[in-house]
Amino acid sequence: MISSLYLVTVVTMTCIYIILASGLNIITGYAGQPNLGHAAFFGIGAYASALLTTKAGLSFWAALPLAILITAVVGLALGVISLRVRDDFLAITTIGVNFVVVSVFLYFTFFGRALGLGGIPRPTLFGYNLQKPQYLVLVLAVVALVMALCWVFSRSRLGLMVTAVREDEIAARCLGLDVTRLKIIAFVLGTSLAGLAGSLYAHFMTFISPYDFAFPVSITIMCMVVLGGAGTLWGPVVGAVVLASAPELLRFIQDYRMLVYGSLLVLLMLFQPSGLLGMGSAFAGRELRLAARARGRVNQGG
Amino acid sequence: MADTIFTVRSVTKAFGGLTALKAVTLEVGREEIFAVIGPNGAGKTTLFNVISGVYRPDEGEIYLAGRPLHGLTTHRIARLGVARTFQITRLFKQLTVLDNVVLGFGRGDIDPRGLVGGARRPAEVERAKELLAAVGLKDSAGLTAGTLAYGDQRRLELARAMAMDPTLLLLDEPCAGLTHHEALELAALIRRLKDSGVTVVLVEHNMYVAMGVADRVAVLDHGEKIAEGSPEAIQRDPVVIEAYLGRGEAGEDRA
Repeated sequence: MISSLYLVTVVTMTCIYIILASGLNIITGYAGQPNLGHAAFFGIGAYASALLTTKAGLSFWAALPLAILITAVVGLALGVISLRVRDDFLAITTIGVNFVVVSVFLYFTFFGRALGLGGIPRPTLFGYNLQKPQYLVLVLAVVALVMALCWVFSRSRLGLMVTAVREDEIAARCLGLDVTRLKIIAFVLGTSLAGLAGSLYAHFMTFISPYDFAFPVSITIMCMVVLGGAGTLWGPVVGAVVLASAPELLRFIQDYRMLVYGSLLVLLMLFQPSGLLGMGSAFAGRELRLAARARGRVNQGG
Repeated sequence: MADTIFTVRSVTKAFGGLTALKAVTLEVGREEIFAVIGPNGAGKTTLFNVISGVYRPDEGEIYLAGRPLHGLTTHRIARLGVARTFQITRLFKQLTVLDNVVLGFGRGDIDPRGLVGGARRPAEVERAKELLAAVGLKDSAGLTAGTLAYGDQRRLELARAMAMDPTLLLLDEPCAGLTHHEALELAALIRRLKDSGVTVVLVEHNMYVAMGVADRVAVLDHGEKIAEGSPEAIQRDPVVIEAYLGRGEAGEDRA
């Protein structure tokens, strides 16, 4: 019933969403800075990679790191500007960033305007052209790498400092933490991951258009983070898997699937607002056990 | 008090039409416990916020060991050795008690080694546990800070401030919300801190506590310093009695 190529597409897109959600989780989950324009950085990575391969003639392997770098630089510049404001003002500023970036893609011929960019090559490896299934293997490897990176971040001193910024900015400043710099570091890390996801997306789809990176995509990524559990390592993964596969799994109820999907979100927010893996969740058992074990170590050490 | 380490010189801070601090001058000696008292709204917390850089003074200068603090950002002031606690506790509530203390080490320095290694070095865990033991939170290291009782949250703030190895420790109403017994324990701890080489400035609404622990006391009223001297002299000062004790507050506090 389901073609294997269709399955490959769904799984690849889920993986790309895992990278996007994990990146946003560093900004919003750990550092506590709302970012409702994450799709803009997804788009910047995708357009950068597409232009570097189609117009500059670079290979995928050269374009991918460059796309991450370009997104990081734009993320740094926009972070320095927008992180001057806080909370709801920051949320609105990032929405603005999303609209501006999509507009730039739409109105400049260089970016292909509404037609988008096509003919983006799939990567080649040892002279062999990677097709969708092989490309999925590559994407899965990247996801593993990203999760390893997020794991290192979540248990590092930098991660702890960034979390302190989320918990109480003034207290963090009074401990000597350079709050502005820590927010910018988190923002650049998160947007870099979005750039990576963008590059992977462009070379998977081989065709991109501005609306692939519009504001609703930012909302979807934010929903994944919040659903899974902001500020937890595996929460964004669970959120991405559920929300990327739910529309496909609910396809059999056709017209009503968005209704069911929306209702599930509302129910979750009512009864488990910290997310599926967040505090107080039955699913958080494993993480809580790990935390308890860590506590045991701490206590024994004395 | 020949050896002045901390100076506040003619500091003024206004919010719109309200002048919260009017040309306040303080000189605090090395390893002294200096209390700033005054009725509610006298400008005590504003003074701390100006010293720690949360607010910028409109006028005046602040020096710690000869280095100017006025005009610096909060985190730079902290890095120069100024630690503080808050009138209403400001903990990292979702983090563990231990991590709250660990964050005080290094005064916020982003050590490149900290990018990959674990968040807490073994030596830091040891030292954090010593500090927690010193404030009576030995068995709470693994708890989430937000779950602590109020008095314990105050102790944790103190341990966190001590982790910064401060030159100057600012305590904003350290005894608020504590029982009489807890307040006495805290006073003993503050004296031990002084003996270990820390200069302490504390703001206190509770005169009983302030008089008991401080070497010298300054009295603020409506943003102005109206008296300064030994606790005994302050208690007898008619200006203070009129401005502060005369309002019947001392009776409440002593009760």
